[in-house]
Amino acid sequence: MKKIRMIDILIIVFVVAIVGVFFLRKSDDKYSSFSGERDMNLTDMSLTYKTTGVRNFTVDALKVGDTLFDYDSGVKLGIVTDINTKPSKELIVKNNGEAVEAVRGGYFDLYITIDSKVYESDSKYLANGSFDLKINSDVKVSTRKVLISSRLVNFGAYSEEL
Amino acid sequence: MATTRKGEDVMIIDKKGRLFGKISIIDILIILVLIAIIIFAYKFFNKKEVVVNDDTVDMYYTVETRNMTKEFIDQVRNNEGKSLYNAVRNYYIGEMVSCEVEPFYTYENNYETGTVDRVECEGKYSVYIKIKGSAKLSEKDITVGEQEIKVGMQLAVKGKGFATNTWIVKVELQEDAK
Repeated sequence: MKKIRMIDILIIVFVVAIVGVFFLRKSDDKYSSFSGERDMNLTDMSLTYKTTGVRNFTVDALKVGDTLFDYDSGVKLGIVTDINTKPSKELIVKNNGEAVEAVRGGYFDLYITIDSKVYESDSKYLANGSFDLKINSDVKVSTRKVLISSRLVNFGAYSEEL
Repeated sequence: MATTRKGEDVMIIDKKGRLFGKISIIDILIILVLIAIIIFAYKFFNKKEVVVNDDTVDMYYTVETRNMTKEFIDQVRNNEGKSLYNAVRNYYIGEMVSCEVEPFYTYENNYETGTVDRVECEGKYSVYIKIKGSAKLSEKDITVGEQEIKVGMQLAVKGKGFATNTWIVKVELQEDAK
């Protein structure tokens, strides 16, 4: 009777490990993301995106109920629940040295609030299981009708302080 | 260890690295890796959502080009009812419906008053070209031919005797009118 070689054992262990990992992942009730993040809990969350200096065309093309996507990846971020605008302002340093905020007529700062299904772990928030959400990150968002370069400003609804 | 019909002992993997003396374990691993890559690639490149309706619907969209002269406007108006094309990729983007013109304004910082003043530029105009297209609609996109249509997108437009860079500023679907 021949001895079992070490390479046989290694390959068998390797195959068993792969099969084991596969079944553990399949049977895991909690969400396990594509990035390998485990123990993630699904939560409903409001997210607010801000875009500065848009015109009325952009505002008019958005409506509550639209689906918002990350334009580059196509990942669905959530459903638009609120649209707010403020007059767009620029900082001007006057000749006397005084710094003032001046309104730029016809331009607006746009705030889009969405309801999103977010997977939360100890280390990150993921929209739709794959899109990493970070306050202050710039992202191109789109609906079927609009494309906007925006910034995630709040894990929560719009407020005047934003 | 297994035994053949001839009563010979066969290792699961023999000295040549073959499974039961037949297929190389390296070949099997390569085949598995290739299958995994094909599955991954298929899923990765088939992320496009299902088109809601494969039929096309008539839609209108408006593009804006700014700081234009009267000569340009005259050329654009000659294209009413004619086909327009993407000026970079040369594909059809729809039929021109109308052309509206407004004075062109710039914004200048006034460092005396600390305001941003809107200033009209004489002899310069903002031009709004309305285009009719047959659009395919999906949950995520509206496309006319190969052209994706969204407010806020840049679009290079050309027709007979003119070409210009524009911004899409308005998208009108039939469903909006309901």
